Amino acid sequence: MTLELREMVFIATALLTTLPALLVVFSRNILYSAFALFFTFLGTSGLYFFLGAEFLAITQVVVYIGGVSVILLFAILLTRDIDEIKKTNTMSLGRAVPGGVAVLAISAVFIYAIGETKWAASGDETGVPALTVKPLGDLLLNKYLFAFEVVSVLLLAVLIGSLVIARRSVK
Amino acid sequence: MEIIGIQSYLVIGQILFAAGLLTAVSKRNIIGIFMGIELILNSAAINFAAFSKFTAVSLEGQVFSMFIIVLAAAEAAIALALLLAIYKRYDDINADNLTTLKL
Amino acid sequence: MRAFIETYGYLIVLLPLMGAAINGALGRRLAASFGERPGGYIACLSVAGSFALSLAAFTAVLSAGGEAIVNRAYVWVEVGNLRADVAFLFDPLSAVMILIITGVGLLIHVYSTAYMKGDEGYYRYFSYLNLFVFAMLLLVLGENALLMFIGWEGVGLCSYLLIGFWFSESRNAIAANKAFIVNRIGDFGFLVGLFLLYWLVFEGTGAGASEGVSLLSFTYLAANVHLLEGVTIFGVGAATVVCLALFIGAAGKSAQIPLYVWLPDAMAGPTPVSALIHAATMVTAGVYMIGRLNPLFSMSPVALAVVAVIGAGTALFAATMGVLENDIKKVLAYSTVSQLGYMFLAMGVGAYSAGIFHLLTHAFFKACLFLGAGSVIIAMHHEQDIRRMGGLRSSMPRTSATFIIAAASIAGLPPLSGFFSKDEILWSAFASGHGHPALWLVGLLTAGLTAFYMTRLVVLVFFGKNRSGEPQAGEEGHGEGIKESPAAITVPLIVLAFFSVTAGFVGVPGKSLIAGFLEPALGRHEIEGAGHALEYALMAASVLTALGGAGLAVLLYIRKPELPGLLAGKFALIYRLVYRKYYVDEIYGLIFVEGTKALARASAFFDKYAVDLLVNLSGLLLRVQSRIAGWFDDRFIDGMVNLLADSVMGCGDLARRVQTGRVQAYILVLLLAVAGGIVIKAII
Repeated sequence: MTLELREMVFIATALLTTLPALLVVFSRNILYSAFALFFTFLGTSGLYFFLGAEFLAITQVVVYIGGVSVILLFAILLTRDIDEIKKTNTMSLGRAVPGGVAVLAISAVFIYAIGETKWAASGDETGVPALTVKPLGDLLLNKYLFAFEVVSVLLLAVLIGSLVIARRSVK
Repeated sequence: MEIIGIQSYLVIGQILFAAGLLTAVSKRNIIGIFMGIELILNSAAINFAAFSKFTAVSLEGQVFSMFIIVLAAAEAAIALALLLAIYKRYDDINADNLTTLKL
Repeated sequence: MRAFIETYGYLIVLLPLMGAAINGALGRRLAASFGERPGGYIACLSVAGSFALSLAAFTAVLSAGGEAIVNRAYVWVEVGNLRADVAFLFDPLSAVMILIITGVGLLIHVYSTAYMKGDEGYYRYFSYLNLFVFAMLLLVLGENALLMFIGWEGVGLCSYLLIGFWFSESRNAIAANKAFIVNRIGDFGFLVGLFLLYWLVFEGTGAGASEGVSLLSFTYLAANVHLLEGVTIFGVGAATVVCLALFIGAAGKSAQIPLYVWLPDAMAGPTPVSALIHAATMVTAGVYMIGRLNPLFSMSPVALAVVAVIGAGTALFAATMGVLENDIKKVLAYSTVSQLGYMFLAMGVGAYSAGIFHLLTHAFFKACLFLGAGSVIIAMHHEQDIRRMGGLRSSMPRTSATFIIAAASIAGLPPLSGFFSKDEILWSAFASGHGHPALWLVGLLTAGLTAFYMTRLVVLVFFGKNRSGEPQAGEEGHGEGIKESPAAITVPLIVLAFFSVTAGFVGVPGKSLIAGFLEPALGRHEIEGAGHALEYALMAASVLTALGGAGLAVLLYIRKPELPGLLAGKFALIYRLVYRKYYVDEIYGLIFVEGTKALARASAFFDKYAVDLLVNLSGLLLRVQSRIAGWFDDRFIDGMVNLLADSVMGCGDLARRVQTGRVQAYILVLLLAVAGGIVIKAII
């Protein structure tokens, strides 16, 4: 089986996404987990490019890598002493074993289902515009305007709410 | 089966989902749990984007992914705030020790 | 101009709403940081803007030759066959109405800035007042009956809020409740009428929202009411049933027999409110509604006759009650009820434009009278009893002059506006196809009584000796004295008095401008087979009656002040009957309030004796039975219960271990359950 360059890049991206995700699960060091998560986000962004969703990919980079990852690092630095970092992200075996069994079972069923489903003629890219930013904006500001507004109100509420929660000193 | 097909995306999404779920269930550190939740959200967003391209042939799935990203950002902000509040209150972020739900 | 109204007509309605929202939401803060004045300015400005736009709309309708202009904002409801747009209908009828509402409303807003000065609810007052203007405009401009109903309820709500404005006094709160509850009865009728109408029109046309038809739109109704021809409900013509149901609504809102009882009590609110809501605008909503649905009412002679008879009856009945009333505002309230009766009389004889004409002139002179009364009340330091006034003419020249002009107008003295409009109604009542000389006679009597009690009011308040104990201008005495009110109060009075004089000229008999203008909306009202000689004779009769009534009042209260007491003694029975307002409130209290209480007492009695007896009997039986059971219980059941309790505790002990209080443990359980479900589903 020969692989085109495009397919090789795709496989690399997929691995970049999934392998760090596994590291997130199994690492005992919270900093490693955080950096692994960073790579997963990056890989996801790459997958969005493959899906023809440039805008999503950029947003992913800006929001997740620029925002969420930084917040995570802040959270870690604000709450833990660095010297005991090696066992900061341990798992509870009592939960991990049954949880792992259940997760594996679910995954097996779903992957089986994904394989068995007769997907409609795949790869038909004619329906999705080449450049998605403008139509996406149209959708957001026309059909989904209400949801858009609700989300913006939610963000405002989050902005205020997180300030209130974080600064309240509980005695 | 093509390599860049819908199945690949769904399988990647499923792996992320499984990893996220396991993380959320088993980690002791609240930050770890939070990472698991972010993984789950990401897997859902990937699935939406994939369906948007391969089955629905419209951009609506991408709109959903957009909303997921926005909500994840909001959730991260709140989570950090809660985390700091919990840390101030208990001087600890080990979820095993937070048992006030027990009455 | 027309295109402007078609696009921006909604602004007329929206501006007062914005004013209300600003005052309602920010009024307290504005008042705290800038004093109370900005709130008043905002309210006045919003109505002034509305008034300017109304003028534009009026000219647009005028230049469109009476053709209706519709401003369609958006589709509001589209459910099943029901479709209602938020759309505003500008036709001659609504154009005249919005001019009255915003014009008189603006004057009253300006007046209120002075009248309510220093009141702690200043901004709240203006918020309500603006909200009222919004609701009233919605009622009038609504393109369909549903929108009209929203406005209809809105004005009711504002009326309630404003009557009970000083709610810390329970008397005011009770008056507000009374107004609201009585109005609910009317609104129920209105709603039933609307439902019936909707159903009948739908049955008739079969068209609905799917065809893009708004069934309750007035233009659609006007074009399709003929479908009700020949349809009957319980053997009565459908049009008659619908009209009567709607008329119940009109009678509630416009204070007609038998639902008029709330209006005199509504005088508990601030005086400008009485002027705007309970004289000039809201109470005329019923008249407007009949005018708006005139094609429907024209189909049912029976309903029209009912309207005319109730209107005439109310006019006379309320006028007699005004004769002996001593509260300055209540005299005006009864007079309002009476004049509304006139309007319904006009509607009932099919003279729709005459009714609207009287509505117009009445808005001016009655608002002027109420505002003048408010001015007097301020000057008298909130004394409302006319027996304790008198001689105010010298110290309040502007108030008294405008009040006297308006009183002369309502009394029907030529050539003031009230003369023309009243005469138009009387002439229609006498000569139109639906009319009857008896209706005319009742109207004539009412005109005489109106002249009598208005003259009495003027004489007792402004002439004669000062009976208040407060010194007037140029008199020595104690107290703060009686002073003329400030310009914010007198200017609206002068403007209203000016229109009380001149508004009549738009309806000069023979070449009535207003009838011509309203014709596209209300149809032509021809009176045939009656000569001008007869018309002039009737006119002379009504003028003579008015002069006679006025003269009688002058005789009784100036020339021979001892005579009223003498007459009261001689006709003690009638005097008491009228003085106590025919005991209508008492009768209603007895029938409805006491009836409800009696029902409650009967229920209580039934409860106490019948139900309690049963309960006691069964209690006794139970006691006997429980003795037996108790013995059995001790021996057999307890053993089983203890066994059960022990096993439950054992289970609980097991279940307790699951409740760790850790969120993740709960998630794990959830996860296991979901996984189990999915796997089972997959295997099956």
